[in-house]
Amino acid sequence: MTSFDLVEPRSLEEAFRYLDPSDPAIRPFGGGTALMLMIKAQMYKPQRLVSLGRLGGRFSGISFDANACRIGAMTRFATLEHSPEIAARLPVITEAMKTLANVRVRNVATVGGNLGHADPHLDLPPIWLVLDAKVTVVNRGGERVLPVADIFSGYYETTLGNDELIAEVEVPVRQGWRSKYVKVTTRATHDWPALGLAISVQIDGHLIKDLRIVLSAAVDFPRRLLGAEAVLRGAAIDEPLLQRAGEAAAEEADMESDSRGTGDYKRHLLRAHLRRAVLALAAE
Amino acid sequence: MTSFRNIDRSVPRLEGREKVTGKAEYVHHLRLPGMLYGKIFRSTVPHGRIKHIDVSAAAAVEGVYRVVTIDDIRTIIPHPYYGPAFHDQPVLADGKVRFAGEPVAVVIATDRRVAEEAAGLITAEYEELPAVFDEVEAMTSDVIVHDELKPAATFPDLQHLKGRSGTNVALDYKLRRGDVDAGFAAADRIFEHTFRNQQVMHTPLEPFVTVAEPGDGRMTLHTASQGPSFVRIEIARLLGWPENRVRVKVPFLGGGFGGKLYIKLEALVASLALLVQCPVKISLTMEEQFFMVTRHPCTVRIKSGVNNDGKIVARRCDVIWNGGAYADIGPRVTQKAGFTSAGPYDIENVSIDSYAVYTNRPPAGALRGFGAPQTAWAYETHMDMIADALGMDQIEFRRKNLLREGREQATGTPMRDAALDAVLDQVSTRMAWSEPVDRGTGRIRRGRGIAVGFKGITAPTTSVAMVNCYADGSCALYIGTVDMGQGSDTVMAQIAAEVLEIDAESIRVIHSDTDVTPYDMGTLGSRSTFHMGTAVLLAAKDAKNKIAELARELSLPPGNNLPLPELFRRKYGMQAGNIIGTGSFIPDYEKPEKDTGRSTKATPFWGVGASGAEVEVDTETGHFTVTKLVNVADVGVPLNPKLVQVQLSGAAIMQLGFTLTEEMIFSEGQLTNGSFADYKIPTLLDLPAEFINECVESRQNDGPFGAKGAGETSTIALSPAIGNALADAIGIRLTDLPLTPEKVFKALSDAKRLWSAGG
Amino acid sequence: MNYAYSVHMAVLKVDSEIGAVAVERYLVAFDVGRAVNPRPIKGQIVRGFAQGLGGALMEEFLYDAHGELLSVTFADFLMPTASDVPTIDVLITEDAPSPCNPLGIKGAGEASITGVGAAIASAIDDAISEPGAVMQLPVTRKRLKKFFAADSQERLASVTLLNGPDERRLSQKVDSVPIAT
Repeated sequence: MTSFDLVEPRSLEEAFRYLDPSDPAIRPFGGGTALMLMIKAQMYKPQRLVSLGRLGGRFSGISFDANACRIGAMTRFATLEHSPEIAARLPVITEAMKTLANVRVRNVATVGGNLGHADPHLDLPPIWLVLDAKVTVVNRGGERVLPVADIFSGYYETTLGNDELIAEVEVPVRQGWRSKYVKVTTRATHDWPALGLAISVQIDGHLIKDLRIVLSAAVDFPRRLLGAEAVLRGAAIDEPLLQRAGEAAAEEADMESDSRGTGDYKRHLLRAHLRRAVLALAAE
Repeated sequence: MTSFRNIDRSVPRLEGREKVTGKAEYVHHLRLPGMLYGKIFRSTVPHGRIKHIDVSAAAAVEGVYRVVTIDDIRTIIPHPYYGPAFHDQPVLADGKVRFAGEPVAVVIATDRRVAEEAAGLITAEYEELPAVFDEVEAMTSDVIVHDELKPAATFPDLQHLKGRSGTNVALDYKLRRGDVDAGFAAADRIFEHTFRNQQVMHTPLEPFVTVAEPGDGRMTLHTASQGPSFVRIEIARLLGWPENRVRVKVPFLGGGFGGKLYIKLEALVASLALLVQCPVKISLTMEEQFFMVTRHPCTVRIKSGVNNDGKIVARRCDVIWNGGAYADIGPRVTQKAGFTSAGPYDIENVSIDSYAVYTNRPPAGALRGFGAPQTAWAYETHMDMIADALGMDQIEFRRKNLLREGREQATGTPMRDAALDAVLDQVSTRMAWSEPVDRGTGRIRRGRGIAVGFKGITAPTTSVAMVNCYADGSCALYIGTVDMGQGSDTVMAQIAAEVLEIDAESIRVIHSDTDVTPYDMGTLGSRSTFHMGTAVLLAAKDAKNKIAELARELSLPPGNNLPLPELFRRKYGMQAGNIIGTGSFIPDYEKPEKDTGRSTKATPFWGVGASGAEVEVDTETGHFTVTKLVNVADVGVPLNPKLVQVQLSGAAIMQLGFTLTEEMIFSEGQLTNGSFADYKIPTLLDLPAEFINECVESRQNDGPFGAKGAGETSTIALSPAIGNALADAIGIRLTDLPLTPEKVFKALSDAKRLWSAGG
Repeated sequence: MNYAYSVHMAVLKVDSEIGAVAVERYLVAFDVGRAVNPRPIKGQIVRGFAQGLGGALMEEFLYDAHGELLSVTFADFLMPTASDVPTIDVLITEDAPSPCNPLGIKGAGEASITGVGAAIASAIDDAISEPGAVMQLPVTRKRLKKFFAADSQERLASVTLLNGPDERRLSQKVDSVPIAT
């Protein structure tokens, strides 16, 4: 690691002055927890890092209205973790924080930085996807809103332009929906997931009215399992249905082998945990 | 029973306050004026001839002082090869590289970040050579890792060491007792199994770090080492200097676990400092530690002849230790863990062959347990498999065969003060073995297992200690034992204080500084409490005798209770003077006979431990949880019960990682999980809900106040206890560590015994 | 009890116009009992003399009327340098070994400084032919100048007087030791 400039702009205008989309050695960052590891491993050699942590305004804070929650991109995980409103209205996030990294990382890492990093093993992106969240992205000239799902395009790759900054995440708060995130680790408890499974369901007794299923970690970026969703949507929960949904999920997911398990084993885990998660949500 | 002031008392760690307030000294913190920083450039191929190293780009970086290769090292050390058993390891790669990750060049710069940046600009071209990675293959492979074997003849127990030239075998240790073939022929049943242990790493929280400070014909090394005396001897040998020109200082260590023994970074950093005539520091990253030293992968083939009544009559063990590219202390591991590899059982006919072999992997050396956990994994899983086949209770089967007090172990060394029965009994009690177990139904199954094991202690080794009583009556203890978290400062102070009839808390322990503290072979292999403890005891007695002598000289009546400061005042007329007591200790030892491995004094004492485990298995996914873990040890008299407890639990947690989660994974000799995101050590969340660590009532009669070592005991039997519990739960045996959920799942699938979902 | 003892002899020149004292020859004879390693003993003696010379001619804590220390820097508190210290003669003797230890060793660190002030003062007295004139150390230029000013007409511009030992009486054991710079 060699020396680099660190700037902490107080306004978006100032931030854009420091940024240069054509120069890969100049980058914006949120908490920097992932970026520091890349710098230390000499995978990235910055000349200037632009911290977005002091931008304030729409980049910070959590607010709710009747149907949605707005989360500034520079909101730290610890803020989400300890927010009573999040706990009341989006409990899946509070729950996920219990096993997300460690307290040191949660105190620093930000929602926006986490999204922009696009590491498929992260716990929050599949949750945003399953909650059907949207992201507002700003650039020098204006802004655009896109579904979180549209951010990811590959392993550590996004569709975001070099001149764009994630400003905020908007999460719908839908009545009658329940969500669950399952982090499946295969080694120490404190590990990256072998697979992450996020499920959101609108359920009536044993009838699944609607649902979304998102798979992460074992795939190159968080993906919805549309086949499995189709099997379950509008159906009444029973063992054969869950078996079929599991098969559909295993079928459609292209699982990578790594030190956390072979693709085959992860497919098996997906089947088992999909079934368990649906049953758990139905029992809630 | 005598009442003690300091013994069997949980004296709080003397350094506790320093550590929690961040004031404790570590080499990592040390910065000397004008100090330069080194960064190692490492090989990218596991076996190859170096065709060319291009350092020009690195040398051109601003702030780079010099880039060093073996040619430069040779100007300082003409024969730059080191190692405790073989002088086989070059200070930097010399013409050849033998593992991916081997140091090839070093950048020296004014800043460590600059050094790191520049090291990334070095390129090397290799002519790749065929490589061998597996220890069993290496036994017969055409790929020879070392063309020439260079025994070091450092240790008396390894002096016969020659290796088998033209092969990868650095040491073959043989033990022959009785007639094993006749035993097999006469036995009712024969059992033969093969077990494997994976390669793992020590993972001390403080990575390897050395600072070398050159003087005029002198050298001071500040180094994170468990063996400062050895470092001094070996550096002096390499430089061709007398020992008194080399000073080795070791403050506290942030963990060692056997990794920081013998020479590690010291020869390299000393050479660099002499080359540039400035202090030089190299601190490894956490990740670089994977390429410094590891624990031996090990394959054990074990064959037993057993009678129908459960008596084992013959056992043959073939143990192959994968030592990686350089022998380090592997040959000693091979011998010490070799001679106990038939287990703590009274078997008439035993044949053991234990081999240290070279491969193209990172070197392996000592790691907490010194090979005993690897062999115990084999013999204690094997024992359960036999008991299952015979339909015998696992504990009863072991009791039937256990080595009893006074009986000869396979080497011919009698068992003395080895509470094998007691540890097994206590585990049995803690596990409520006689009560039925709820094995569960359907998806969740439960099981329990036990295991017992023992280890011999590295011998012969020497410790020297010095007690210094100052004129105000306060005392300091000068010892080379390195406190690396085990609490040795506190325990040694307790021993000295007990003799001197003062409180341990009042003693100051002077840390390893070879200019100041006397010789100690090293802080390793559970030896300090016994060896250094005895030396401290003798030193304190010597001081006490001198105090009595002084009182006589002052014509005081025997039994006078004049305080020590008053004695000094009477002698010297003021607060002045010292009383210095010294003690040195080397236990009796008899070298093993070359052809039979027999010795009547193979070990100064026996490390004895038993473990019990309960597991809960999710048979659908293969995930399992160790719900209860019991480790019972024979540590003799626990001098400091709290520290013993922490040693037992710490060692157990470490072995739990080696059992469940830790494995260095290689692909064609390249480590593929060389980071702590991918190499998982256990955390608090991985500990069993019920976790019991305790010792049995016992006494090591020749140990200081009845004590013996406690640092490794709970590593020995832990893995097989968990493996045995898993087998009890699901009826399937895993023979290769680590025991991962996927392996369990696969075994269950293969056996087509997968319970139906939700079952 | 044993005694380390030394003899000091000085030959010097006094410049009455400016009050300067220049030591021309100097001898320290020192009985060390047993010279274990003569070379560092010579060094000790020479360095002791140099330090003594500073005390005899230069070094002084000066205070004003309020007790304020005036010589607070080394521009005010002068110490001798190589140019102030002549090559001296050193005679190490072993005439009286100590009975208190097996080797007969005595100290060698201090007796080379103890006699310097007195020897210099006596030599100055002799140079100006006024025994008892120097009653206070250090004999700074200022002090000496003041002494001459008090009675200037009666004195020669410059007085040189050799009153020391007959050079031939110095034994061959005496070495000239260059003062290290």
